Amino acid sequence: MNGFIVGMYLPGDSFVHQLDPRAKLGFAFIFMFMVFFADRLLACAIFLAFVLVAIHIAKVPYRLFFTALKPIIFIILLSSLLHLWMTKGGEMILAFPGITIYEEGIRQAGIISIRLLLLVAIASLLTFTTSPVDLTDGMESLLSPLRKIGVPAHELALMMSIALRFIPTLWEETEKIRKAQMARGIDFEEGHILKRLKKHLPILIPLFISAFRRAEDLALAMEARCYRGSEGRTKWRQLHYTRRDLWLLLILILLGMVLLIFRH
Amino acid sequence: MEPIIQFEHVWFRYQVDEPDPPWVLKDIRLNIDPGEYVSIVGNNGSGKSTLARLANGLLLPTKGRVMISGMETSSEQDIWQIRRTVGMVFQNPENQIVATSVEDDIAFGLENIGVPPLQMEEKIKNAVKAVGLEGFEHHEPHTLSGGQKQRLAIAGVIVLEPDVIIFDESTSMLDPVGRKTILEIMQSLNRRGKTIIHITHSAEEAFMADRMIVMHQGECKLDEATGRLYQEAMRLKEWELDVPLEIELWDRLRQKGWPLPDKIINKEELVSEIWRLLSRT
Repeated sequence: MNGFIVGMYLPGDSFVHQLDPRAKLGFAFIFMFMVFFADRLLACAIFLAFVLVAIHIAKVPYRLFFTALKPIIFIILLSSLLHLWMTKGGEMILAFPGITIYEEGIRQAGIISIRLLLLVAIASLLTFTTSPVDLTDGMESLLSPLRKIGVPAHELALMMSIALRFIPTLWEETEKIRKAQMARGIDFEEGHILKRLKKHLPILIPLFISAFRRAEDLALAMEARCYRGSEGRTKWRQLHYTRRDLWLLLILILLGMVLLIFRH
Repeated sequence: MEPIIQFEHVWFRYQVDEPDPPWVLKDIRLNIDPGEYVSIVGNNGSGKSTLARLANGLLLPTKGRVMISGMETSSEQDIWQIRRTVGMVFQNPENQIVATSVEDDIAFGLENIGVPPLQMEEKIKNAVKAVGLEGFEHHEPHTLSGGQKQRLAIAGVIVLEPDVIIFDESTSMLDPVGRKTILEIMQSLNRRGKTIIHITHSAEEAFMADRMIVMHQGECKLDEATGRLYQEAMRLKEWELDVPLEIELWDRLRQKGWPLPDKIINKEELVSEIWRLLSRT
């Protein structure tokens, strides 16, 4: 089960763990929004410092964040390089034939890297410290006012919960099919990237077929257990805001002020 | 006593594009009384799973009618009450679990029928205890073994307090240990007054019930108390079914000329008969 960092939950009882999932979701959403307005290096640095403190309070090992970052390191590098290369302005720092690096370029590269880092870090922090059940319940509760305009809040939350429930199952199945195909002589390591991708087709097709079969079985089992959508449904877990959650509001206001003060 | 499940001349076929699809069930007449322990056996395509799905309104009969405690399954307003009366445990334990933890999954059914949240705790606890999953309440489903998953599926059904529980080949994907626990749970549920319907193709498991129904090509071929069925059990081969080992043994010994009685009620009786013969020689 290694390699599954995205969406992983680390049980714990830290301050961050005990926050109401709705408060955390709302906070993360607004935080991500604000990150896009942080266009000064100093503001970015303050945001980063805040996230580092939050990670510390949540008692989540830092190395997990590096693992979570791995898939997007390439994107961070690429966008930084593009900025270094393309952005002109400020003093000239380095000049090679074909590429000139300006001060502004370095600044922009730094800002974009920190922004991407912040996005991944806050999203990971949210999933590391919030159990899937709380996360989906929180989402359902936050979206429920939108039900009036036709947003299927309950269905979306259930979909997410079922997806989370079946990730390990499908992952195990993928491994099983992979081994079965290897036993039939497929070498997944050999050849260039396109060839290797093509070799994964014999994994994907059986996986899809079985996923559809599972979906059918599950729908039947849910129906047999009296499932009929959100109509007349109660929730076992009730969410309660506490005084702790006010801290998130305060932090949001502070971060907002940081943005205003260091505005361009 | 009014039967809890009644099939009245039920015919069923799936709606497909073909002009004349084959009948999956042909003129099924069946009464099951409250508290009975019934097994339904048949090979693949015999219609036994279809029969189960008709019993809680997951499928509706093409002709005839199915009555559950006096309610007809085709009635839209009664269907939820029918599904609360007849619970169903399916074959693949993995594909019945909805939620990301054991207790949340058990709560799923309660949430569906609108039980007030404060009453759920107690019910969930009882269901967990009934299937022996204490200590696993917070576990994620994928960390459970096959047998434990199936026990969770049973807990999810019994928490709704159904009168009838149908096990649709629920033991066929489990290892021997898992299978044994599920069979024990069935028996203990039956002792506590639940009507149990066990659909299986294992003749050995089928003989654990009090009454056995044999399905073959959509027809009900045999409906008999298992105690009375021992002497004619060799007929199971007519419908391509296995015969339990002890009955096969009894039959072959008799053919070899052993003076065994021609009426056997259960396995224990056969064993003691053989012992008696052996100690005589």
